Amino acid sequence: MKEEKYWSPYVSGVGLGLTLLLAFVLVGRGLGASGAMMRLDVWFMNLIAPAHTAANTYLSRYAESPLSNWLIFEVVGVIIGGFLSGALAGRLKAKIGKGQRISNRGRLILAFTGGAVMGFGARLARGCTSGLALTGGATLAVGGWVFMFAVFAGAYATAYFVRRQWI
Amino acid sequence: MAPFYKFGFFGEQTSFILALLIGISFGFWLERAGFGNSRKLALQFYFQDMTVLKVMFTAIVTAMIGLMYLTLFGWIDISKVFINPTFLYAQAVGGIVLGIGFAIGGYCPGTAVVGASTGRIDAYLFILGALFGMVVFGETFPLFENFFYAGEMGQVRLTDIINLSTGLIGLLIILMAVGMFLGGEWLEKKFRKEPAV
Amino acid sequence: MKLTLKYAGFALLVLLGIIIAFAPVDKMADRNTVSAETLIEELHNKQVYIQPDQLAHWIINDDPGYQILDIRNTEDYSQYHIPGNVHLPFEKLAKEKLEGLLNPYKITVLASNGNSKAAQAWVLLRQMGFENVYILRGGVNYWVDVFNSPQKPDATAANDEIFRYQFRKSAGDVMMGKQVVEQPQEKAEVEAPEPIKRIRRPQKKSFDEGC
Repeated sequence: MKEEKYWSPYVSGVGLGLTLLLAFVLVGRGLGASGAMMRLDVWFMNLIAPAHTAANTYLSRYAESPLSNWLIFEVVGVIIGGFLSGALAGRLKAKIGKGQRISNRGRLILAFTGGAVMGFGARLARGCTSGLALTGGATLAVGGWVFMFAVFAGAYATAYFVRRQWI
Repeated sequence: MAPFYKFGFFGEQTSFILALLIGISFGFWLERAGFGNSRKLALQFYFQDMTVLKVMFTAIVTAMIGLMYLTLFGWIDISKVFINPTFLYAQAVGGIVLGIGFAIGGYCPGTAVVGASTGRIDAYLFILGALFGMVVFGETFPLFENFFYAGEMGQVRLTDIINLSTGLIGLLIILMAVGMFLGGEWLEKKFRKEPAV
Repeated sequence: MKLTLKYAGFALLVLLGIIIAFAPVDKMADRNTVSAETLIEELHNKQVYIQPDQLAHWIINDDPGYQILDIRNTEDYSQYHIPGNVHLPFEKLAKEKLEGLLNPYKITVLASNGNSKAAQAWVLLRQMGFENVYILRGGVNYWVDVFNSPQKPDATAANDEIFRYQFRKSAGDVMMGKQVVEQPQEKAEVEAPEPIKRIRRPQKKSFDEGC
């Protein structure tokens, strides 16, 4: 099956916006992703060293059962939705997104590194692009807008140094 | 009146089912936009593919207009909708750090999940990295604890710090968004080489 | 064709923006404050009283989800007050004063003498946007009675009554502390204690809702 083209960003954007609006209307909260990852982290750490997580003032906030959290269900939905859309468009394929000037190995190392930096930043800011920038942006939260422009600033400032990876 | 959950129309169990459905829609649209593809996301930062900017601002503006009109018609009690609390300095610095991670890693947490679900190997590594980075943050939290609360302002909206009505701020954001769309298209024409696959 | 559709979308956005800019969004948002009738109704249904025992449990457990607002006058307050509370005489209750003192997202327990002032304060707080406001049943006077000299139940009493007595007796030391307790002069009408009602807790931490 041939890969279909991506849909117009404006159509997708309206779809995302309506999803976000639906979340506001139904449950009174926005979307998110990184919070679920944190839950998963703490759930896992709890299995290994429960006393350690309980003693940490930050980790202990997340120490409930992961299934009790709304975001976990939402992210499970994201997995299903992404898979469905990918399947419908014939885009399910094991591959690595990168430019031509970097090796697979190099890209994977950078993916892990970038993930680690982002994970740290997301926790410091209390949210990620979906939980803080999108949700906070739509509800006019000051923090959401400050965060969004900070993200673009940080990314544009770094882009030059990792250009071999992408272009 | 909406938000239905906060007014007790249904319980927590139902809200979890809705979370799943909302998540499915979220993931579907992210994938449709091409956000499962790290290179497409990253080319945003070289002005070659402005999809990130277009999708994000379209989504924000759509949801924002929706909230404003629902408030206007008296169908939603906006005071019961969650507003992210503002911690100005923590969020500014956290945002910059996250942006650096975005340029290096090519994903953000939500898009990485979509990438992983469509088989992108770099997305799996990115998620592992993010999980690792969050553990690091948790473990070093005592060092950052003071900064984590820096610039606390509570649940403030733009309308609380800018002396304009909600509707007027909405219009300004829409105008800014449309300006960014037009600017983005112009930049794409100027810098685009080939579409990202 | 595609191009014109896109620009039509942009134009629609701007149009919706212009309409919203001149529409009374803020007025409609403010309208959502609770109406007086529903408040009075809630008051009459007695959904708003909290038993001393429940509050004592929270105090002993160091529960972070509650706060006590004492609205008696300064004289009474200095004689005795429930541990760990905020004091603001009823006459001074105003939104500006409460900001910073109290967190509107926590459970607020009103401590008073006599129920009528407490009821008025309850309505005031609810209208200021405090969602979980409860009145301490019987006020501070009843509280002192309960924990200073709990009534010993008969030997034939039900188990839970004996438990309650034991709890009150042991909690009494904490509640009364080292303070000199004088018997209050005027007694509030004390109603017979009802079984402890479970109160639905609000969301524990708001940051959980975000990303």
